[in-house]
Amino acid sequence: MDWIGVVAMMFGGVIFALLLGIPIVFAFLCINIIGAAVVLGGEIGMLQMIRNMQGAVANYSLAPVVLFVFMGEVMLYTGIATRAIDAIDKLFTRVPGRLSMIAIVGGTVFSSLSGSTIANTAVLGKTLLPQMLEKGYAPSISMGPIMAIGGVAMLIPPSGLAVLLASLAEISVNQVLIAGIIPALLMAAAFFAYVGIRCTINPSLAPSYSVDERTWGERLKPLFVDVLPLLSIFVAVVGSMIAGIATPTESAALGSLASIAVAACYRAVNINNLFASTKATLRFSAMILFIVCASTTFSQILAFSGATQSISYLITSMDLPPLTILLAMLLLLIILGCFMEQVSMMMLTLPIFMPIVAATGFNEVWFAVLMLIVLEISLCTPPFGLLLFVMQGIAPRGITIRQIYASVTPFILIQLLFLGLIVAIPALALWLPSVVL
Amino acid sequence: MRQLMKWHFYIVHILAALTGLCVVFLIVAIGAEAIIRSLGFGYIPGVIDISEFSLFFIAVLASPWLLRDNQHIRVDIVIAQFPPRLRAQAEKLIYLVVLSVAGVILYYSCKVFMESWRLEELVIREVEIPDWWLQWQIPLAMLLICIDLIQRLFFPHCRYEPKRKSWLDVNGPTKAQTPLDGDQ
Repeated sequence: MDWIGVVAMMFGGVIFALLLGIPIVFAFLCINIIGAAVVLGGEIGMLQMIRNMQGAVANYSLAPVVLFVFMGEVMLYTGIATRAIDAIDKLFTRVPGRLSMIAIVGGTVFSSLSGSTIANTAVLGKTLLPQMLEKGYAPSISMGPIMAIGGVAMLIPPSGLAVLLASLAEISVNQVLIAGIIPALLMAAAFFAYVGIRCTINPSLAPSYSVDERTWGERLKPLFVDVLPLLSIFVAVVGSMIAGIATPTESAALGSLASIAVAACYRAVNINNLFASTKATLRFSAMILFIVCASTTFSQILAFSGATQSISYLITSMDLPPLTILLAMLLLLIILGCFMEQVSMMMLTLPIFMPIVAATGFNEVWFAVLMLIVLEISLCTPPFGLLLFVMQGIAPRGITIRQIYASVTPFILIQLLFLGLIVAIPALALWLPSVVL
Repeated sequence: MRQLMKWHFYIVHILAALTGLCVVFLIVAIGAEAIIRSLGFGYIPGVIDISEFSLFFIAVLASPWLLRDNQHIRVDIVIAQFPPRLRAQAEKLIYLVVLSVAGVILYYSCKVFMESWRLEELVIREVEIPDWWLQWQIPLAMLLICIDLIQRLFFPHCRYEPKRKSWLDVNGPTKAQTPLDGDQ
């Protein structure tokens, strides 16, 4: 079979199997079996596929995927995340779109403590959405910010998916984690400004309501008690990496221990919530890591058939401007993101994209950040964006999926704008790692 | 079959508990090593190797537990649109495909395991172990997955559910459970 046939079989087969409803890992394993039989030489290929399953996942640099998720679960189950959001709530006075702004600030803080976009969206949705709807906030200004800021957890360390991307792409985990910080903060600031401007122009979107009068002391005290100590967790993760004390994997473990220690300081740790956090971590990590088991053989089949090299050669020999190639790759990711979840997208595209990135001379860390932003966008793009369904699960009855789509659309446009900005100004992503690492 | 499913239930849950311990190991051992090393007390031998083995155990040995509770990620929005009868047929087709995949992997992973056992291969790293210590997990997980799917397809009334919810059930009761559990 020539490489075009192999590409059609591998990609078409996976997409067909996914749409059929086969669990993602078995969709990949199914296509791997066919690919191993056809391309890798039958039985030898099958045996190699089994050996690859261990090699793909028994990788020290993947440990942060588990550890970063654990951090978020500890925050969630000990109730520390909710306390932090309550403290941020007290900080804000009467401002346009107050609760939406709280969601954005709270979501950014929680993103720096949790590696899970879903946990981020769920905790904000559960805590703030009922209040927003009760106060008469329009769905467009209540659900949109929660989903948009929920996805930002993918860019701000600790981020499990950033680690996975860097690991699968074989680039520096440290650099990818640090490179995501400035784009994420700028994006959060843009969401904040958008909510402020939109609610000022049209106050009916977020009717103002009486807020308890508080002195500055009353407003700042919860911030110092319930939010700032949590930043020690972020410092444990990022600080230990930057200071060179710990590898990314070790910094993730330190972050996990720090999150337990901080929760213990609030007297919020007990055996039950630690057990619940571990169970939730296991559930999520096992799902992701089992999919990763299929990654090496998938890449090997593409490489062995000549598809990886041929596609890379074909694209680079077309004499297209590098920018066009980059935009085409990002466009393809955006389209895939409408129909697929993030790990499958990475596994399908990285074996093809990384050789092209290398051939065109793009900075790999910069490309990883761009890809993370597209993956973040894909969490919210209709019809299959994961966070849309998380929101549907949280929202009260009566909220339609169309309203959820409409609410997130302006934020997707802002994210696309930022994608363009980082394409135009790579320093936005690359400056921080160049300074601190 | 009922007796087999009872054994299946307990083995799946014991393996899930084992992988839970692997998660705890990752948190404690890697964190401890980072602290000990940064304080200048050297390092704990074997932590990297055992962490890597733990990741493999988590990925493979927890998979029957996830399957039992339908927790593997899937895109079911297309078949969710089907009328109930067609959806049930589609689910059976999916079970059949997954059973075939697990069956093929079971067969070849048994071959790898037996070859590894016969040749007495060694994994030579910081921790030196026989290779077969890392080759029994895939056959066992695939066997459990096959048993689960055979039960679903051919013995739908033989599923074992203990009278009390197990503490390791994916959506089982845990005192600390928040309303968010199950959303992820």
